[in-house]
Amino acid sequence: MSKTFQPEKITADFVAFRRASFFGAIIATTGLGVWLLWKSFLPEGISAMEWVQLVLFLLLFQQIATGFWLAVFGFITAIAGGDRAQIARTIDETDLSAPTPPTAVVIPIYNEDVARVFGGIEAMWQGLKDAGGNEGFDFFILSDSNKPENWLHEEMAWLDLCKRLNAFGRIFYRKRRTPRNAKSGNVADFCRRWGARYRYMIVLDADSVMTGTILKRLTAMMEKHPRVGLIQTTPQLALGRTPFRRMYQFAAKLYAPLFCAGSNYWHLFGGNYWGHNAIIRVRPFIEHCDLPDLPEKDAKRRHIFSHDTVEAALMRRAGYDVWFAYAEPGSYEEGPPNLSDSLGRDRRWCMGNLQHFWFLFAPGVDFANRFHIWMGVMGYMGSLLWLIFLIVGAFDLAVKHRFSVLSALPGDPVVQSGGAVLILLASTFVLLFLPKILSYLVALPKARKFGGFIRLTLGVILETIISTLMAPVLMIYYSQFVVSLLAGLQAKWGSQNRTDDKGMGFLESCRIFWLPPVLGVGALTLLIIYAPHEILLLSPILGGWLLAPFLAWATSQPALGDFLIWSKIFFVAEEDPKECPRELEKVRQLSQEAEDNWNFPYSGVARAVTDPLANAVHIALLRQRRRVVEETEEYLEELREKLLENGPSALDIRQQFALLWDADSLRWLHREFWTRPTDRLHPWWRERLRDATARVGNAAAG
Amino acid sequence: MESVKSAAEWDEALSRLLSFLAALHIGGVEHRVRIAVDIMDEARRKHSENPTMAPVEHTMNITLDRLDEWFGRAFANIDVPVGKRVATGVVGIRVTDAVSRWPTAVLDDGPVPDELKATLARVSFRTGPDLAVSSMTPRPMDFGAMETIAQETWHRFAWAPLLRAAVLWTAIFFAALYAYDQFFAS
Repeated sequence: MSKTFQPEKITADFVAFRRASFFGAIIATTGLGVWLLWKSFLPEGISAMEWVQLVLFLLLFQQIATGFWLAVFGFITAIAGGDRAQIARTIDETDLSAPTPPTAVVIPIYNEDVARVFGGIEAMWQGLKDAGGNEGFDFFILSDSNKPENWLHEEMAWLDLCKRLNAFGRIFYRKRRTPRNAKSGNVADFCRRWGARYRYMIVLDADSVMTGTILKRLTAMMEKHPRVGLIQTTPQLALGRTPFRRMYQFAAKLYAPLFCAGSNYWHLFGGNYWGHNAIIRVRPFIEHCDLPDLPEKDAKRRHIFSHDTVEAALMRRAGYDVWFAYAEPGSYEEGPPNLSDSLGRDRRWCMGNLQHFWFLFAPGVDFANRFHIWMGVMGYMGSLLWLIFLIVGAFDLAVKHRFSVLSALPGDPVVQSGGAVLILLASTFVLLFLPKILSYLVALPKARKFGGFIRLTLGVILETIISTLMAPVLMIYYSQFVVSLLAGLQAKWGSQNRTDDKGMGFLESCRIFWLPPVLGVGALTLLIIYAPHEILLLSPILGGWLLAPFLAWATSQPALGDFLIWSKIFFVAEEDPKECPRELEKVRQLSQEAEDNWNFPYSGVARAVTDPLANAVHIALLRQRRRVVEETEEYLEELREKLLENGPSALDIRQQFALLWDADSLRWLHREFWTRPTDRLHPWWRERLRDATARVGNAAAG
Repeated sequence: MESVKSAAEWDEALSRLLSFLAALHIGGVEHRVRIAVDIMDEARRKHSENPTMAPVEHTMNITLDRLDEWFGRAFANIDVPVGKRVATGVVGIRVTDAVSRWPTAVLDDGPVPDELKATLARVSFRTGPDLAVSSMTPRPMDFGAMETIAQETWHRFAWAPLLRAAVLWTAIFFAALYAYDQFFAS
């Protein structure tokens, strides 16, 4: 039965039935929720503030209902043995045995953990070999790193990788001189240069890992269906150490299957793109998916920051299908290690998702894409609306309570509404928590993959408690991001891009997360004065706010994460050596080995000057310089002298980059460093000479 | 007889040369020492002709010039830009493990072995395959009603003052409501 599904032959009735059932359920649920709230307001007549609440509630309850029905439809397809309308179910062994068409695996990077990036590439390269050969696949590391030390480090890592894998001419490294338009610009630059050579490109993030099998299966799916422009996989979170990362990878592993299945149920060929771990048909992407400028007044705000959703919409607009291979195993990524880094990422996503609002009513955008855009916007805007709803609701209740006390009438709103408030409250809890329960039920037969029944249950309980406490904290920061962005301000976030080897200090956590507890104390004070009867109801929110610094601190601690690993809490199948794909297992091991191989006491321009090999690699990769104007030559000459006379600290990053882009300067500096007598060298360079001599001594001794 | 200062300078030159050759990975210790002795002899000759330059300058200049000359011979029939010759060669030697097959070839006075030349020529050391340029430009996008509304409304004023005004009026509203509740409601 599975092989009979043909995406090209999906009928309009089939799509209409699925979408009508899905959206019908959402509309009915939302309508019921709004009616219950309206009914709870009725006994005293609906005030202006209640009308505000009703409108907000309509938007917010729709969001909850959508999540709920995604899970329910996912659950239904899961118990029915899986959705038959899956792109992944359309290929068989014959398709997989065909030669792979030219496919580029594209990895844009920006100041990433070099060892991790190249470890991942090696794991995928070997994974492809294990899966029948890597012929047809070329890898492109596209760097936009803006730290000199990263650039040099990346080049040396690339050299080492290509040498070990004998992959020169198959694994390429390119550093962009002008990193215009960030990641989307980097990918577009690749398309303009080499896109025509490849039929498909698989776009990865720096922390992505995909098994050889899934890479081959994706190309086979694309080959079989020429009308498909893009297939997105579900990247599962993996390799987590901190409690934060482990909790999210556990939650994603447990809950995502139902939500993703539910998503595929309604959108079918109108899927979304998440920016990575996806395969793209290059020709239509080049022809139709270059991002347009937004119709913003301010030129700085015209570029689309979050390109993926828009690219999916443009691909659909061009007449190509976008599918979701949601159940394909072997697609991985790593999440942020702590709440602070997670919020840093959310800030960028928030900016991007809000920009997508422009496309919501644009002619020619497919309905499914409009809904993806709407959900993306509400993902952040919803937080602000919830906050406003809570403030207005609390104020309204406080006023009502005061009136009821003053009028000496039986004024409990719950009683007055005939229980509508209770029903509404209960149904909201059901909508929020039933998806978790359904996911838990689906996972129960394979509880072993989560560490067994007890650990699975414990994991669900812990995750529910922690995520419930974190939700109001996220609400505060998402609201802050939205307000700042709408006001045209930069919502800066001091993310430090940590790995999960080091947790946050408690004071650092207090410094970053000071706002929620302040709000918590303020809200608690107001509630004690005006509405003490609401404290219990609002305790999850108050608790989350008050505990925010502690939560952020505790969930960032690798030692606590190690305990969780030891005790197998938040355990996922990939942590079982028998279940873990070889690619994933290799990543951690290779990252460490690579780090040791490329270890050098200093990097950046200093390394390019002193280390003959690094100098050679760097110059060999630079484009041959065209004629340079006299002013530039004078400027470079001045920088060269300054560097040699005063050491690298005398130059700022921009100046260091100017030298690093100039092969003649590096040749000259290299020569000067090695030929100048010691007494004519700056002490910093003298130290580097001593290092070089010591390395020779060590090598001879070794 | 050499002065103490002069001896120290030659020590420095030799030490520098050995460090450089070791960092280049162009051969085993014996080969490096042989090359070093040869270079040092030439450096001494040149120093006697031009004592204004320090021994280390003579020594390393000779080394770098020899590298350039040797890779010029190694890439004689290949189109490698002069400025990139040494860099490409050093990397080529490294990535092909040429030293393990030709441990005494690099910087040797004799002819460069043909097989080594062919090995170096095969090294593909590029940032990408041959260019296949495509034109990727955005298609015209009609943003529809949103764009029209934006142009007629919020593109005509700044958000920050609007937000400040909204905050002010909200505060006034709640203050008025509070005042009503406190003084008039009963």
